[in-house]
Amino acid sequence: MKRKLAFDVAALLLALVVSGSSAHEAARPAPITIHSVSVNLPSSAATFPPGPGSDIAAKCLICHSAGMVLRQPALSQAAWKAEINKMRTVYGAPIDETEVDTLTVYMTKVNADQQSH
Amino acid sequence: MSKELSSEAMLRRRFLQAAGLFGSIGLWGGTAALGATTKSVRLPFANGERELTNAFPQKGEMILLRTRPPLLETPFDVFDHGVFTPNNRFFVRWHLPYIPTQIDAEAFRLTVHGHVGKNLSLSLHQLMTEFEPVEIAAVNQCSGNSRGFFDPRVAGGQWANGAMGCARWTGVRLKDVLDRAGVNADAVQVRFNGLDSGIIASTPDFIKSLDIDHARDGEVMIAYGMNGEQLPLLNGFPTRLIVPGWYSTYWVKMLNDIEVLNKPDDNFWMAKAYLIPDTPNANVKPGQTGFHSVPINRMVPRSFITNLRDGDRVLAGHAVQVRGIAFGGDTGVAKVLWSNDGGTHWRDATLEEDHGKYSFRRWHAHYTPGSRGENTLMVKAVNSNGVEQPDAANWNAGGFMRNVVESTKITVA
Repeated sequence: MKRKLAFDVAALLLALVVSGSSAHEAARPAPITIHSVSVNLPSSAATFPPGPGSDIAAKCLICHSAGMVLRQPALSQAAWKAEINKMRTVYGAPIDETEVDTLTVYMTKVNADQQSH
Repeated sequence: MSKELSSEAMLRRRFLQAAGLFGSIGLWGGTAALGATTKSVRLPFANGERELTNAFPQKGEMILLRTRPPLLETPFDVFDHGVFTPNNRFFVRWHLPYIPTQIDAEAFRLTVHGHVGKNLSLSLHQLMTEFEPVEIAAVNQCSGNSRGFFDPRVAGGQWANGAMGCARWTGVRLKDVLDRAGVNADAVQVRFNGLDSGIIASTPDFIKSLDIDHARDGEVMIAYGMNGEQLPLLNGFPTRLIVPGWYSTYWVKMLNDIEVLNKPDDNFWMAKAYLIPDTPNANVKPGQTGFHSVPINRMVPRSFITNLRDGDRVLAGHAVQVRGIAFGGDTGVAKVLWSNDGGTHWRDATLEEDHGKYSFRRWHAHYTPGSRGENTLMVKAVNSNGVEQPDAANWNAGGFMRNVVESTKITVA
């Protein structure tokens, strides 16, 4: 597999200028060179603190790291329940209906404890 | 002038705090996978402690909001350095956990299908050589930029003001690509999909749509260049939709699929997410119900002071430059007004070079501080449609479209 694709649009621009088309336009885009990309994204070691419900909260990490949860402003228990149910019903989080109340109480407490940060 | 500013800067309250994250590392097990982090920043709202990270590929120092999928905010001082936001400091926002990390530029194809005369499958080479290249300077701003300042607070990505940036985008007109495919007469919308996806089967794929007339307006483009280079992977390499004047949610990253629809798109990301109240400034009262909602769309004007921050000190009787950036939203900046007395009196700031109506516009003014004590500097933009930033902040449950007149509280010493 070739790892590099390097070419530019200079030839096309030259053709446009020679033909007179758009030659008066102020901005001629500079050529862009494109290379294949291979990167690594960092992983997060952030975890939810221990407590009743932390095992359920661990399932959140299937799709996203803990950071954004821990960086929420103070939210009511009702707001957390709504968030959890959105994750279940919209995004397919594998959290059972019987786990919702425990997780709601857990998230509300974790969130409250975080507000001094 | 630079001398004045550098001496002024020495008086600046320090926002960077060495090892300031110690407490949260102890509590939460930390973010050690991101490396030996010693720097953090405190955004000016509750729970605003953030790590500064250099751990992300093709990115410099960024404010870490979430590691996976990445949410990275541009540190605000970057906006003081110029009208264009460097690629390695440009904010990053992904919705779904699967993001390809290896992209073969030769194998990549952009497909066009749906209600068209003929399907297309375009290589990057074709995109770059078979269509007329165009370039536009445009602001890319998250719908929820500044959400952390909402009062009362709302759930979501807790950004300060750095979920925005301005770049020169190079690419081709979406119209030209659609014309190549031949759009059918019954076309209503055009839907855009990128290479990202969920990892749970039922997670709705992130797809966004524009009305057909908007898609064919000759301004919406498919970009393969950002500030003269290929896009960083986290900003959408290899191709990204550019929707000048509209919020970033429509600027689909890693764009590889375009589908022409013959009915309005009712997918989750159009019908349920990114909705705003259909009210002036998308403003409602907390708890209010019964209003009509619509998909977020055009941006509104904003302006910022970039060389002074809350808590900075200036010297009485010594002139300093006040400078910053402004943008008009869905059209250009007509004027920038600034106040050195908390909004009692306003005067015109000097607008700097015009890079086009969708770009940041730099502005500056000269300020000679008077009597000692606390003082509030303010700035507001008026766009060329006559739309002015509001004096009072809007509110909605999504935390969208904040554009209140900004204030900077300084001390005259």
